Amino acid sequence: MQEERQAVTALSPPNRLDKYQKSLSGARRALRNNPNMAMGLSILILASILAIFASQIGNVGGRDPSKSAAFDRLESPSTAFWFGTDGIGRSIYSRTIHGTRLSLRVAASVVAITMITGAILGTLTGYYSRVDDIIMRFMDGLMAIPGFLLALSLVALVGPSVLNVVIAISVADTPGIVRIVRSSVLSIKEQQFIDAAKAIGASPFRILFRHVYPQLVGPMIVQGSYIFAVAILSEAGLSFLGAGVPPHIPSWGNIMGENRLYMQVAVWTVFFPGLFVAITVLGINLVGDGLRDNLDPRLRRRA
Amino acid sequence: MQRLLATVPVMFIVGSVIFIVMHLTPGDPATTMAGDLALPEQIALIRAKMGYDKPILVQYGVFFSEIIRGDLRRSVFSDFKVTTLVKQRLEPTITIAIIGEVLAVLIGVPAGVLAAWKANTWVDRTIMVGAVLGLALPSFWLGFNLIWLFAVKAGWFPAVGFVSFGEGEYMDWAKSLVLPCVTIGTIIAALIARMTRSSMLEVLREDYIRTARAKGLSETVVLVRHALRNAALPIVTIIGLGFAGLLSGLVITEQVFAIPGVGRLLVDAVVRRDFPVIQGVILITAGMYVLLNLLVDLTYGYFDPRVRFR
Repeated sequence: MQEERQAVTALSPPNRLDKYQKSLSGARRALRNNPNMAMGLSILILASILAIFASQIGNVGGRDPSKSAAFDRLESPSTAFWFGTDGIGRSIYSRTIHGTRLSLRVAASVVAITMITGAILGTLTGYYSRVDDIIMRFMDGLMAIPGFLLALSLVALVGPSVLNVVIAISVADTPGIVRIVRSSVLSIKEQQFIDAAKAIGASPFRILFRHVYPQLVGPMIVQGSYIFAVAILSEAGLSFLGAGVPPHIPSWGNIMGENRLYMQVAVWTVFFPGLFVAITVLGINLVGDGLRDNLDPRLRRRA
Repeated sequence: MQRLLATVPVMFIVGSVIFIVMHLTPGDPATTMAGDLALPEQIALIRAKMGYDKPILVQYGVFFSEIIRGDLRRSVFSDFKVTTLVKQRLEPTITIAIIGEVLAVLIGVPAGVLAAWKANTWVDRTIMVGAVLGLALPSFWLGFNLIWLFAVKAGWFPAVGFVSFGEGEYMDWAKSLVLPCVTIGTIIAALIARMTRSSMLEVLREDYIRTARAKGLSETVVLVRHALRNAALPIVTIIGLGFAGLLSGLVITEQVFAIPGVGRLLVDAVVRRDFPVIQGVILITAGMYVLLNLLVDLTYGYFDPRVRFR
């Protein structure tokens, strides 16, 4: 028994504390060696600050996202209105800053939902071949429908609201995660240290949480970062088409959607919110690429 | 032919998924379609007309018999057949999709090859920064900026609209296509460039590349004939997968450029809650996507003869 336990320890990945310390120093090194990732991270931190303090930063000098002024319609950017005003005289600056909050919240919720459901379904299908066929065929079917179109139709079915937008984007993005989790579980399941763990009578739960999931953390984080980016773009797209967040809540997408008719005379109404989307997504992708280079062992060896 | 038959079960699954999604979503479609001011009788009428009052399995059967007969119901809003509506709108969508995809390949593949060839130099970095940027741009925002720069400021191209092929001057047709195709192509090109670079990097490390260079072959031959061909599979795959992004992008791009395509049809249907049209368009799009990926599978054999014998 004692030897078996040792054998399991020898074959299983290093324990959590070691890994944690390693990953901390690894993170510092990664950031030093990868200026792109450091830049991406700074963008994300900045965006989070904007989101958290939106009511302070966005309301500087008495600006207010919903205050409209009949005499200040479609003003070009000035000291009073940094990003100009929209068709009913609302400050684009203030609305854009407030939009950060919603866009990030939607994206973060989508990541959380897809990760959790993806992990559950992926484990089920990878571990229990009985449910594998049914769930995977359903996922294949979902994947055959372009994600954005699926989300768009779902929102049309259930009606636009923040929650429905989150659910619709999550449904469209989950199958990819399920596939990744499933294939990793399938390959990990066959490895020796799992057999060893089974031999000493470890319960399926123990095997999953001690031996399988720790190995999934890397790919999941990388995938999560890309889903975050896709979710921001999808939310902006849906809201732009009027099938997203209800109009009274400012989001980057619906600011652009509301103002697209004025676009030719007042380019700033569309330019600034879009710029925020582009920069944020850029930041996420840079971080995602950096994480991928660091967490994917195949790539690390090559570098 | 065998491969074509193999898509039948796939399409069956896709159809089932669409059916499940459309019918098991919480809420009553008839009520949603009728709107807020509808009378109960109107709702009942819609429900009966759409067959929502029948048992779910009967609806499932009817759904598939309609697909097999190619008869996709009528729009609740205009009473035209969905197939007719889609046919009317197909030309601009297909034209932009094809030109956009070709443009993306023509930009993405050479850019990726160049980046891999000049790996870790400023050329590589510039291309890759461009690619990451391209992925980050929301397609409608890119479209708006292009309109503003090249249509409103420079006046080179029309800002919106689509000129049908053969209707009016060819130049007008071409001009109306430039901005939408560039918009749609840029994002896919970025995707392709990234995949090309990483796939090429892997191949360029192989021994046979060193052999080819040692034989004294020119760098172009080495890159194109020896490296690119072996690196092609992942690139072709991403071109196929990118098609999903292209279709999604088209929905938005058509809205930005006011192009009367299938995407506009879908968005209008979403706004009007015209469920038969939504269902039909999604079904047709998914079908196109599945067929395109079949096509991609078939090209594998061309690039890698080993695949043919499987």
